Amino acid sequence: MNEIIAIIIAAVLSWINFVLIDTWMGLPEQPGVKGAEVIGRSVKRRGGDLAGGFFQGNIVCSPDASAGTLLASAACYTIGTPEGGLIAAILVYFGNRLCADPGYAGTTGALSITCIIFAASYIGIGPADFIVGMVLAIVTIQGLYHPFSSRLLGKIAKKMGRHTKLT
Amino acid sequence: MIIHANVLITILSYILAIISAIIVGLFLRMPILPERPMRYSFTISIVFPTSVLAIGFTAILFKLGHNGLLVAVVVGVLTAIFAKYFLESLLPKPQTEESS
Amino acid sequence: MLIQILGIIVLLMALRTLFAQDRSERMLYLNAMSFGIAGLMALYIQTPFGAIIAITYFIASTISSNAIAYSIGRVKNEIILDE
Repeated sequence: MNEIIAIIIAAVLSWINFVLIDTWMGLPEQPGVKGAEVIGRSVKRRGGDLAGGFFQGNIVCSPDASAGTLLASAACYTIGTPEGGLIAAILVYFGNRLCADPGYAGTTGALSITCIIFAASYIGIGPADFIVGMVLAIVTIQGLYHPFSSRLLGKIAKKMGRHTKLT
Repeated sequence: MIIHANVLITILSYILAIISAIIVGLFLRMPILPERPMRYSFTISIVFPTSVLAIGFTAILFKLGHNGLLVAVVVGVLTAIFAKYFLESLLPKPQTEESS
Repeated sequence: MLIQILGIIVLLMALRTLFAQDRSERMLYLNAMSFGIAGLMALYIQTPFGAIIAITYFIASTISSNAIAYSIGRVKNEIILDE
């Protein structure tokens, strides 16, 4: 498969994987730690959505499904599918507990992307494409224009019933 | 799709690791599921994180060269014991942060 | 080619960090950069040890960002209280 198309497909799959799992696990609902609240309120001050801001702050301050996706792809690339993803799931769990997070989002993200990588290997997309795809996906959320991406995350959170009740 | 016997044994080993972790966890009286809402609870239960740790440690041992069903069962048992007694002291529950 | 793509992303995020005005905004760009560097480590050191290094680096950078974001909040509150 053409390399660019593979990276784009991997980026879309990684984006869907981590946004859905993180939203379902309640990242937009409340800041997990104080640092996430600081970042969330700063995004709101600059014209964004508060729930989306909490989502972005939680990504920065604790390993979540985005970290799980990236590290599971890296582990699948170097160690092999699916053992790499399972090993990454344990290490992400330990990292989560070190950051005062229960650990559900990170491990779920790692395990689900391992299944996706295993399935995608049958159509010619390798784990290395998922590493680059995940970095591209996180740049669209954290690195482009925060008010727009936080409003998009807020709309998704509202649809899944996870929008924040704080103001 | 031709499924080779090696792949079947590997999948079976992972399933056996989870099953043995679940059985020993039930025996040690760990809660099956954390309390609701599940995504905010720090309780160590059978489904999470014991099963995840079981297949993870099995994967580590498989990559280090020790393959087989017996390895998976032993790892499942040891993981359940580790999760019940040692995980809490290794990774303590965080106290709620004081507000500034 | 994959390493070049990640390298360009890391450089762009580093430049945005330098030119951003808001301190919390910089944390978000730094976080995107850490993703890129962790990916670079795994792609360059192609052995299992490389994945361990990438995971360790990423979790350590997350803990650092957590501490920095917390301190940004504390500093802001203290300045307000002093006035």
